[in-house]
Amino acid sequence: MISFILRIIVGGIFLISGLAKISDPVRFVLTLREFDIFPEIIVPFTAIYIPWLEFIIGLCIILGILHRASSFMLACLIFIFTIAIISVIIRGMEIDCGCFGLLADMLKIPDMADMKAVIRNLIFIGMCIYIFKAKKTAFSLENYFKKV
Amino acid sequence: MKRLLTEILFIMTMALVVSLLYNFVSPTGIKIIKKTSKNKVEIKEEPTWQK
Repeated sequence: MISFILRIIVGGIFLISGLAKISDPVRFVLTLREFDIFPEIIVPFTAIYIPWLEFIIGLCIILGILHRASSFMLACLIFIFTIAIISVIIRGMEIDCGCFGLLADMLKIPDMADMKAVIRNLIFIGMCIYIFKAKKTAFSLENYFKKV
Repeated sequence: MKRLLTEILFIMTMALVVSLLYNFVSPTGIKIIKKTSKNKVEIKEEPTWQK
């Protein structure tokens, strides 16, 4: 049951943040440029691919389809984001982390690339590991199809 | 382990296909590729959240 609750929280957050980035790809391109990590040629493709990956992983986690693979992938993705944020902190830059895209502006949530974002990401990674380790999870489509 | 890798590959491929399809359908996505394919050409369009 705990893994189900965690699935809803983690999956929901990444589904919504993915949607927010999909709806405004230009902003995500600008954020990736601000990070100054990726080569310029990769930036547009990353800005197109990552939000959809987040969205699909979030959907899979919520519905309980391939939940082990999707939680593992999400943990890896958040780990990469965390490294990017840490590199920004080390370089002493004060930029938007772009984690929630348009949603952060709409809800007026602070979305800076700082230690708070790192701690939040570490909590998400912990949740993903819990979901990954759970062999069975309640209310999942995978279990439903196995029964049918 | 093999199953996990297959599932990961499946999700990544699905995301790639959907993102490319959406990019070619959505006018915003095509603009991004066209504008950034020429190296060091900045996006001149005002971001939507500032409008």
